[in-house]
Amino acid sequence: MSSFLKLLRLRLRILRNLLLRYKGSWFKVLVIFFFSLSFLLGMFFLFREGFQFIKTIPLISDLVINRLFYFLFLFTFFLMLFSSVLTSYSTFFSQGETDLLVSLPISFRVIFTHKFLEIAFYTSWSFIFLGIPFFSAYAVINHLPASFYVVMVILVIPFVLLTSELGALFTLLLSRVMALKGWRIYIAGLLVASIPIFYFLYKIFSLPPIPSDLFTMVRKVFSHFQLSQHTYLPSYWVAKGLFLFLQGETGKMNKYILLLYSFSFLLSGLLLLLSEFLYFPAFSNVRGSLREKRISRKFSPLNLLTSFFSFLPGKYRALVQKDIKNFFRDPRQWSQFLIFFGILAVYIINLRSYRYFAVTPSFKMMISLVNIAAMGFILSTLTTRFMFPQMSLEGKRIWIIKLSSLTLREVLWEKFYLTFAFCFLVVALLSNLTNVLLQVSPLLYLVGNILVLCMSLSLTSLSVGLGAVFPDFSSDNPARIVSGFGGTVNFILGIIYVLLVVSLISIPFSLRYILMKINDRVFIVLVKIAITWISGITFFSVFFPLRYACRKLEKLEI
Amino acid sequence: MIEIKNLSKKFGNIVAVKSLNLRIEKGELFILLGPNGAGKTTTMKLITGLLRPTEGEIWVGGYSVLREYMMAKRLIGYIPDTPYVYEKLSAREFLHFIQDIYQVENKHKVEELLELFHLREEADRLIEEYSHGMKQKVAIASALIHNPKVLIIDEPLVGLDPRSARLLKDILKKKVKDGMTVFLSTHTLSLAEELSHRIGIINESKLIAVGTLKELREKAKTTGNLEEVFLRLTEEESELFS
Ligand SMILES: Nc1ncnc2c1ncn2[C@@H]1O[C@H](COP(=O)(O)OP(=O)(O)OP(=O)(O)O)[C@@H](O)[C@H]1O
Ligand SMILES: [Mg+2]
Repeated sequence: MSSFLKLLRLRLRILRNLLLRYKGSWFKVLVIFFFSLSFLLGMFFLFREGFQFIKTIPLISDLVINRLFYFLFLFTFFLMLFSSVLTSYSTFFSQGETDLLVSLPISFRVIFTHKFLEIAFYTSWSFIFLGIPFFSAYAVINHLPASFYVVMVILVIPFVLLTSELGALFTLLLSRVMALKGWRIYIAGLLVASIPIFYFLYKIFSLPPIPSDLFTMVRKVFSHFQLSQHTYLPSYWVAKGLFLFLQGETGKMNKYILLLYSFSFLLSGLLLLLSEFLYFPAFSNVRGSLREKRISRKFSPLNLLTSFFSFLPGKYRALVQKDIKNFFRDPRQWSQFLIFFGILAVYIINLRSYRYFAVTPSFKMMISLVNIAAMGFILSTLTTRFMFPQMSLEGKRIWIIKLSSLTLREVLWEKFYLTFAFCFLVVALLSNLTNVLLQVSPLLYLVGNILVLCMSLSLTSLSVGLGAVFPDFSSDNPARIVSGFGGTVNFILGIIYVLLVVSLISIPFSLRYILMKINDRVFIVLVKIAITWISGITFFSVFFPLRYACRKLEKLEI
Repeated sequence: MIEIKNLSKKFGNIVAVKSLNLRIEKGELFILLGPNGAGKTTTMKLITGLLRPTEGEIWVGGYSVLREYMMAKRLIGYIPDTPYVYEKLSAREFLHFIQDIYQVENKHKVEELLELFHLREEADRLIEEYSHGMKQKVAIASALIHNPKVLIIDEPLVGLDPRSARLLKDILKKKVKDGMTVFLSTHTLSLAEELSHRIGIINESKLIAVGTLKELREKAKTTGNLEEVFLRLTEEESELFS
């Protein structure tokens, strides 16, 4: 048996041992099972509603679906590409297991391949998980035959593979060429390389000026999305293959399938070839550059940042400063942070062009409401991705805290306050900025700020609380902690909360301004009711996660 | 068995190992001593092929560690200072995995080692539940599974109870008698006094003395024990450089 298979068997054994642990606790298994199932079903019904709605659009519903698919595949492509580039660095060069494997007589090629499969799995599973209800809903609405699912699988496998392969290849080359100085250069290179990508995204998102009549507008918008149908994009090949299948043009579809497979095989070959020469030098370089940097004790932006907190009482100050330093010294954290804000920047830049859309007040209202939802999603991504892992990252060091005069409860609150202050600051700024750009009405401005406050509170407590309820002390990799069970629960609950809040507030506003069904008096009453409800929901979603987390922490044993 | 020629390793601006030349014969037990941060671990990582030398070359059993790494690694057993063991495997499973990787024919080897290190009773528990010393024993057992020609151990005694330490020393003695080459770094000077054929002292990334205990005594111009020799040699050096 080759060492590749031996390693595979090892992984399976570890997986089995992990599962065996659940043997006695059938209740937990049941909960997880039902949770995943209801998530899938919920998503399925949501998507079905969406497709149903699109179907009712006169004349252009097919066109909308068409553009939507191209666009979604493109978006997935870029997200997976980013995610694979980021996870590949920490996976290829992780300490611990990699050192063991390198010291054994296993060829670098095999080690590399294993790490690669890990990366491909971590970058793609959530997309696949979301894709299942999405495409099932589509298939059910359109009464598609079972062969549709088969074709989907055939198309998606090479797509996922080649995206991860591109990410891995990029990391391998870049860390070989430039990793001599470690992370900083890597990130700089990454950013430089992503400039064209951001430009491309910018081009796609920024719409042309608005023409007077609706029809030309729609046409212009759609032709604008043409960019997502660039022939060289792998996402285009998948979507095209899919549409050719739907049109029954199997012959032409096969060409695209062939293209996808041959490209992904080509990349595999290239990676296999390069890994034998490049992996070890890169690995050794990365290892060597770990502890090179000296920490300045006098002045640095980080020290400046932490000095803002010197008003806090001693023990909290120490915790806050530790958290901030840990966060910003961990490249895996702030690199994603940068990318996150890059995407935000694209969003804001584009708001300018959305303003052209606001030809009618009702349209304007719609966009303002969507913007509030966008703030919510930004918040929930921010909290899930960056704040949820914080408790887990304390990891095995948590005993230091247990021994000190601090209680874990205090640590929890510290994280809550810090996260809340930070997230609220960021999103409040953002929301006010976008509201100004969108020129929203004073009332909506006020409501928007109230909602941002509520959402910051709930989402923070959700992520901090669930982070403590579902800690993963064994992993040092934040990306991996987030993609675990707890992180997924956090993300889903966060999204549900945001959807709930936004729908509640949308009711009065859309009744008044979009559907024009009610007068001002009724409108104000409805707004008040909605805000009351939202405050109630917010209270519960702040209270329960934190309370549960406190209980859990009291019982925690390391 | 181990041949090191003109070996240097730099980490950025830090020189961790500086033009090291060393030859260790088959069946020799060589001990590397040196203050913290002297470059012992780095040297061992270079020999096992975990790091790429900045300069110089290393052969193990006649195979270049860089170019014929698969052959070289088959000959080596390595126990790092903080060994990695899969926490979600049992000791038995872990040892079987290592055995598989080295393609060891003798199927009783794992059981023998478990017995030898008194791990039999715990062998089916997950390693994450083990104590520090037990983990260390698993790591040592895993490095011995394929009867390596060259055994490289970084700080072997950390965490071992006196009985296990004794056991390890006895094993090392016996293996060396059977022709195994051992390259070991330690801060436990008594271990060096008891076991070593030759001792190397490395200070500030340079090998400043090599030889038997007797030769080192002469070099340090003292008749005292190894502690005195060590302090003398490393102190002189740092005075020279300061
Ligand atoms: N990955 C690394 N990156 C940067 N510098 C390193 C790295 N590893 C070791 N060094 C530096 O190389 C030098 C030698 O370190 P090494 O770990 O080999 O010392 P050591 O002799 O094993 O010390 P100890 O007795 O404490 O284990 C030290 O100055 C250390 O700071
Ligand atoms: Mg060391």
